[in-house]
Amino acid sequence: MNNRTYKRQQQPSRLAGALAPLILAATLLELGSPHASAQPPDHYAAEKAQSYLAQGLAELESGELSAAQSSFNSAIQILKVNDGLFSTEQIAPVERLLWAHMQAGNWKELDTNIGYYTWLLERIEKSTLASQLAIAKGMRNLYLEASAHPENATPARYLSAALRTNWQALNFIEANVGANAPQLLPWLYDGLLLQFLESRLKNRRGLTNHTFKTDGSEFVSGWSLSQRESQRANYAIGVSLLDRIEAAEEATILDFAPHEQSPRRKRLATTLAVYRGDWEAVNGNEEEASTFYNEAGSLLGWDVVPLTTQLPRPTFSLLPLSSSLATPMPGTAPAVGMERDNSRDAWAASYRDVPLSVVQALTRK
Amino acid sequence: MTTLQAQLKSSFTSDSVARKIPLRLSCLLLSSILLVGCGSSLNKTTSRLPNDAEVAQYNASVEPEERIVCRDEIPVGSNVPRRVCRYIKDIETTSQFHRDQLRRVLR
Repeated sequence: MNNRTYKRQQQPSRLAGALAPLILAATLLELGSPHASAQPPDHYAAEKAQSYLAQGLAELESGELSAAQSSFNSAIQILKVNDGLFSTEQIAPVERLLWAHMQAGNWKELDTNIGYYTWLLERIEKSTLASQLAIAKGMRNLYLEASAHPENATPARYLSAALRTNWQALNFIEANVGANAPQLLPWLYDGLLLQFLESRLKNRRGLTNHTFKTDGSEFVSGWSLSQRESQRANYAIGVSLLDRIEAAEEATILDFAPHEQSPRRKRLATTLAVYRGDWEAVNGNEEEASTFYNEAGSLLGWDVVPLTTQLPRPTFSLLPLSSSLATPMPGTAPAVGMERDNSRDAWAASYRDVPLSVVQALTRK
Repeated sequence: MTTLQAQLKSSFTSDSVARKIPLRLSCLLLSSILLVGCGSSLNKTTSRLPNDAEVAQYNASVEPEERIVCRDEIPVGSNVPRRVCRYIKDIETTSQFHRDQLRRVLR
């Protein structure tokens, strides 16, 4: 071995010798730091998963999003190690992790974790209609909030996903309990509210093209709808949803009285006329709205149709019977024609004139 | 019970296995698309093209390449708009064909 080779071999050990005091100092500093007690998570301590989850929830609540992500990731890792890769116990921390990423505006991580979440959901062996719909509602809420995030450059993509999730839930209910099942009603009306949100989205880029509807990157000529076509479709979908609400409500009426003598049918017809009027009003069709409101008034002999101050109404419910209509409905004020209160609590800057009450109704548990 | 999870997967990913289209809707769409292709040779009184809500609901339940788009088009020689539904993949294939033809002619 010549001298040169020997020197070269000696260099790493000299380097290590020089670095050793530095490493020691760094270790001592670390031990003296406030985080000294933060040990790496023991992935075999199954009982710690719940405490990490609770810690993450507290951090999420207080807006410490990075810390929350770290806590949820630790909980997930422990559950993977102890309960298996396919363990559905991971669903709760993964759900919260999605919200932490969404609130932090980590869109790439959000999409990656959504993929993992849906993969996990397919491992659920036993479920009920209610539990599956709760999952769908959770996803819809997540997409909806993501679409309103101030740092989201592609809100249309997430709003499309929220709409799609609502349609999937409707498909699911129809397939399992029937095309006119009462369980459809809230989802049908939520669909109408989502259409309203779609019509109020400011940054509509990609809303009606192939890319955001499919998550594909390819451009398909002829797929994108024009602004006019998309507005017409939005309005038409709302009308169809009201038709379906009417059909589903009709199916629940079990009395066999003739149509004009049935109080329930009369109440339904009146209610639908008011909701149809509302839909026309939010779409700027004042004349058609008045026609529907007049129809509702004539059905029950009202002089003044009780209009709500905020349109659309947050939920669908049959309007009270005529005897109690002398007073305005809760949260509403009687008004003539289309006069409405302009005081609206705006939901998000990405949407134009969306009352907070609409989104609260959509995201309710 | 039909799983909703499989449907949810298609919201953001496109690599999932083919989902089951509700039979009623799939029959409706299939017959509608066939009728568009066959023109007047079939009995039109029994056909109805899906409306916008049905299209949206159908598209939410299938793979991206199986999605359809319906719009009102005014055919040549007429002023009466006609509703036409096409598969997105067919629109893309036709577009690609026309682009290729144009490129070949201009070369």
